[in-house]
Amino acid sequence: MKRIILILGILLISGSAPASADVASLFGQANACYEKGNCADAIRSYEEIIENGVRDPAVYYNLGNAYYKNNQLGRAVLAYKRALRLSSRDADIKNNLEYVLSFIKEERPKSPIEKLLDRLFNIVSLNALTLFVHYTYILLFIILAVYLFVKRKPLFWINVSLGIMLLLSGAWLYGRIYSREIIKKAVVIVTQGQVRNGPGEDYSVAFTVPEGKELVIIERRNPWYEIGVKEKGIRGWIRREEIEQI
Amino acid sequence: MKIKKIIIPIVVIIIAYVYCVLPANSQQLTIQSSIDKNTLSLDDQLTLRVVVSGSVSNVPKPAIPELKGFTSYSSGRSQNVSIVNGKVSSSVTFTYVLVPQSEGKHIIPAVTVNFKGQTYSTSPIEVEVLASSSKQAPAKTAPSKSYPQTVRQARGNIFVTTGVDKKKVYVNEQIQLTFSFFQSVRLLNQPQYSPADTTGFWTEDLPPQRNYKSRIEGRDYQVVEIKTALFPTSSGKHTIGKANLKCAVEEVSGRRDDFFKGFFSRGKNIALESKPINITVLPLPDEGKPAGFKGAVGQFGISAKVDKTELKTGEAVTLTVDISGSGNVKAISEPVLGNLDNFKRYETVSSFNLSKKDYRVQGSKSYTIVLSPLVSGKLTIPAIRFSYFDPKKKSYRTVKTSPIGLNVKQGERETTSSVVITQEGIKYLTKDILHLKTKRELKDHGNLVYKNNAFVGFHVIPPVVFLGLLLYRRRVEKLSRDVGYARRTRASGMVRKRLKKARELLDTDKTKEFYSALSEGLTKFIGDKLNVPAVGMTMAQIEEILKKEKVEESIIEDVRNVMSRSDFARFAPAELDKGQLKSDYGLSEKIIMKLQKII
Repeated sequence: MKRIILILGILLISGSAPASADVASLFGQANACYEKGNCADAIRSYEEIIENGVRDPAVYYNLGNAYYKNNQLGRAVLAYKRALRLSSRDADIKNNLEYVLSFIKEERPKSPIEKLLDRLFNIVSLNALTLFVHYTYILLFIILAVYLFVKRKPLFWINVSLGIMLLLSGAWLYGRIYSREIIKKAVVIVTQGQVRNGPGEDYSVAFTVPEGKELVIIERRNPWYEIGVKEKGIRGWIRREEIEQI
Repeated sequence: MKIKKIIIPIVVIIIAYVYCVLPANSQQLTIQSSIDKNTLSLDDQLTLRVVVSGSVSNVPKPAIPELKGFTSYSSGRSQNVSIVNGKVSSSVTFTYVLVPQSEGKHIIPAVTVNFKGQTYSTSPIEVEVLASSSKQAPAKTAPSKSYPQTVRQARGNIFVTTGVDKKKVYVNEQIQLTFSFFQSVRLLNQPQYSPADTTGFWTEDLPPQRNYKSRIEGRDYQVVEIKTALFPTSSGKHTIGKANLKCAVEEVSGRRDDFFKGFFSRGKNIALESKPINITVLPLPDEGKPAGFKGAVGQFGISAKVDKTELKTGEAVTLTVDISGSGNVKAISEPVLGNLDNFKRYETVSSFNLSKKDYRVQGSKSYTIVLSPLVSGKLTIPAIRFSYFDPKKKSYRTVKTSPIGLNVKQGERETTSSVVITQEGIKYLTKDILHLKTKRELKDHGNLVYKNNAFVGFHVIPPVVFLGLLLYRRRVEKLSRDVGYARRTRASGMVRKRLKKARELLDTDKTKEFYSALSEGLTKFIGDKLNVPAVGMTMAQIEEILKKEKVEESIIEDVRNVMSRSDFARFAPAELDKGQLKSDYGLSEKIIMKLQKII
């Protein structure tokens, strides 16, 4: 049993496999294009790397930079947010995202407390948190099993604390997964997204959203998506092409 | 004698050195002013001499301050240039004639001259003006009496006119005012000229004074022309006032040939005046007014240069911006410089250079801006714009320089950084995104552990295992605590073992042993199941127990049959055949199965 856990753990930690040499050279080319100021080519190469299934935060980060330099704010925000999903603690990504978001007037900058909470929430990577919960879970059952046969007081307290730990970390993990998987977020990628009162051109435009704004997808009814603006508590329908899911 | 011989040349050399070499090296100017007398009467006049000397070929003209109580006019200049050992030194004497206007003590203020950014000045001089002597009294009163007469008469042999080159101008556009003094008679004194009142205009003298001869209506006139440039400061109707000239002329009379009379007579004082001129000043149009327009009118060009294009951070580069052209150069304001955030900018110094060629005020104004780059790299001084209004084309024009590129290398970091930090803290120049991440190895970070089904599925195992262990633990506990339970749970297993043994005996023809095993199995099974001691249990006891447990009569009958046959077999084993044995074994199994269900 212990051996199984060990093997599983090793397997999971080494889950990020190195990419092929092709992708590495493509990355080098893209960076060179960017530095020469040829952002369009750089964007194409970065996108190609991503299409090859390599999801590296550095690629998304550089892609965001290229989009920003190419004056595509919305796509830049999208790329940075995707990079943050892969590496939630990267200060460079946060810095650039914040800088690009400063161009969106409606985007209220986060307060220091919000930033701190955000930082604490994302202080460990999702995989590390998952493994922590995983090992706590296994350890809890092992100690419980031992306790069945060796009724010692310390073991009981170890079990109680392990249980509390598992409960808290499990809730945290659930929150992380929920905010990532259950809430579908999207970014406006056109200069001004038009949000209508219903799914169709016949409905009047209720409000517009600036490029780069983050929205929550509530419902999909192709080609219309019902979206909500969290902090304003407003919702409406937008054409699918005007946004892109993170 | 000998000492003198040596001393004299030394003194001469020292003097020569002091007077020639020293000033030549430092290019210094000296300015002195003097007057010909300290006391004078009201109808007298005073000559002020200003001597500007220095080791330069182009001696600037001194600025004559406002002289209270005097009317002044320039009566020319005389220049003396000498070149010694290739060094130019010149002295220019400017002569001004001052005519007192009121009696009392007057002070001729310091006369100043600007040269290469330095101001030289003389010391003020005190002058006492006395009332006219009784002898001169008639002469003084004369002008007021003969005023109207003389003006009329002036049409004849002496008169003044003023004229302008245009009467409709834009604000700040040059007007050339010409004052002409026509004379065909001999003047007995220096005329007193009081220029026209030019309130509302910025004035600029236009030297030189022109002297020429002109023939009008058959009469030869000596003409003196004084030109002034006027720049209206505001729009609307403006008036150039009368210009006055007072002078004493020879009496033109029949006794002209009287030499002595003519020679000694003070002649006739006359006052001449010109007509006022109305000027219409148009405002500058609002239409098309450039953003950087600051009121310059005329025709201008702009150029900019730097003293070096290769430098290090912390070093200074001098940017010189020249605006040249015709118009009111003095009034030009600083051109608009673009974004110079990457530079530390020092004070701007301006200087101008006026020329009045062809009686047009023109020249250049240059601004010297010292810049020190704060960052290294290729920096650009953006194009500098200058907007003006061209009155000829009646439109605004904007001229600009081309941007200047500078190649700035990193200077000594220590000094610059310490300056930046101690003096201003960290100075943010431009904010931009952070640069690319260029690590070599890319990895796929998209694999999330919780998305792995095997991983999620694995978590079922620990609770299941735990549950199994829990049940096992419970069972072990119960078996150790409850004998009846332990016997009961073990009964089936034991009886199966015994039956198996009996089965083996069945094949080996050992009838006695077979029945013995069978009866033992049955008895012990029932004993275990019902937790009663099985050893020595008789059939009657078994019957009693089974009846108590409400076992069917048929099963009890079967048990009884098997038991009686086992007893019989112990004593006469040969009587029983193989068929009977097999049926009894089957019967026993049936009994056990049935009993397991019931008890």
